[in-house]
Amino acid sequence: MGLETSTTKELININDLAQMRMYLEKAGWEEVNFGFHLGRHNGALDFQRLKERNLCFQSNATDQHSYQSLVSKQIVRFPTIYTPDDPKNSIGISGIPPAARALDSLSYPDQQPRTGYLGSYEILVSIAKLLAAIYKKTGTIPQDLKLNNLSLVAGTPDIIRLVPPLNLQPATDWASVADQLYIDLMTQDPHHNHQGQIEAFKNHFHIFLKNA
Amino acid sequence: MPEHPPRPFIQFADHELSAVEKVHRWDKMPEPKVNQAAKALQNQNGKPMRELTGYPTEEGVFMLPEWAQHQIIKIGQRRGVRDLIPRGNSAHEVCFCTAELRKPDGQLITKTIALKTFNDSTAAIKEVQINHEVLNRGFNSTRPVCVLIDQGRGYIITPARKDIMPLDTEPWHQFSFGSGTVRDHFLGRLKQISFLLADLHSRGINHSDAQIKNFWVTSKGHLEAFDWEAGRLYPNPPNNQDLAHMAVDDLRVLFKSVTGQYKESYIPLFNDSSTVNWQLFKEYFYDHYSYRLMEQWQKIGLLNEDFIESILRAEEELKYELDIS
Repeated sequence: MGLETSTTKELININDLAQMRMYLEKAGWEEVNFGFHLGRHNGALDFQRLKERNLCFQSNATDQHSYQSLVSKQIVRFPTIYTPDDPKNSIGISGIPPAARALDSLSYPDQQPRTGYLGSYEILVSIAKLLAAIYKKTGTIPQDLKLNNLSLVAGTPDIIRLVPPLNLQPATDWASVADQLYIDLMTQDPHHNHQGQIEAFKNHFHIFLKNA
Repeated sequence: MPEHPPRPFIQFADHELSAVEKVHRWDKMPEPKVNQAAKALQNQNGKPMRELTGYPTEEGVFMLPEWAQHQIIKIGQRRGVRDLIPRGNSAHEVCFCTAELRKPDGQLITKTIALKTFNDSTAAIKEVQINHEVLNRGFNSTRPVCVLIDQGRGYIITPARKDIMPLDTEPWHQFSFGSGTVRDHFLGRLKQISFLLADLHSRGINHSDAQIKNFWVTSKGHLEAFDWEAGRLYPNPPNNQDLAHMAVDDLRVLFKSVTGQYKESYIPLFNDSSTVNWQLFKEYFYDHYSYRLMEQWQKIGLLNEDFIESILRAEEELKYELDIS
């Protein structure tokens, strides 16, 4: 999937997201709707055309290094379509499944696990699965992890993926990730209790760590 | 596949006939509802699958017209794989699983399906018929494959869509404390809902359960209504009296939905006194709704004084039903 067309060759000459937005709109790409948009928090461009969808974001050396560590350990990620030669202040492009949605555009109301569909507990457990795999295989965790750094791709075995730009750093205290997530859940969705969800996250993180 | 009259307003979803895939390992112990539906399908095995016409009361598998030459072979869950789809707080009595179908050319395909179970098969048939008519009248919505009747129960089988997001999964609470962009987003959603309801009503479709949870949005931002269990159909186009009835019925439910009066899908968008809530609802929803209706009526040449009067009466009746002074 992705911009593996002449569009990519033209896009790599654009180093400014605003210019890139103009180019994409002119070329018939549509900006993805609110709940699906993976770049609302950092100004990244999330555009789609027919079955193609791409995220254009400000890349950096850490992002590219993090991406390579996921590739080398075969951890699920959004594939990079284009990586800039100059990691400073350049734009990376990732291919995104059309059904991917941002985790910060969901509410998390469930107070218990659900059967038959993807509820809040299932989403938190899936986050734990991804983070445990990253921690076990690379010794790193995403820094300052928030819900807007995570995406859900429904209907796939590995439903949670990190949203670029990636920022994996050597892990000294993985437990802080749970605390950060809890704070973010309370911020994003203050009307519901998230204690049980975070406990499920922590418990399953341990389990996945053993089995990863 | 049998030919059907063209539907100018519907874009056929290209996910519906996805890559050929055979399930090699079925879960021996699927979830109870899936197990029940699987057994129901087995009970009807060997009997010819019929195209759904009217309101059948006998047992059997009734395919919707656009699936008439397909056969549903098996329902279950794939072992080791969970076809999980995110839902809002309200599960719509639906669970997700896998169906194996045979296409007219004999090819086997699998689909992730939404399985909706009814204790009363007549309710299932009614929902499917209304859903089918909604599609016929030019709207995108769920597109059921078949309805299965077995031992008095009904099961609606619909391809699950992964490209949609039910509106009650969106963080509506951020309307109060989010940035201006977020607030604008949700106001825009209300406007979308108002236009969609106006369009539905202008073609004689009364959803009858127009809560926020019964709308979803695609990744391209297109809004669609679904869950036609309580739906009612009127002539297309309806007369002014029917239109007023639909307006009161659906907008009453929507008002309660956005003022947090439904616990199962709690969305307190407007959280003030009833009078203030009404003013906000009128500004952000009702005025858009009535404007859109007038536009539709003008297009078909029926915009007249009687129509305007019925809209105004509907507003008064709505306020009366909502106990707003």
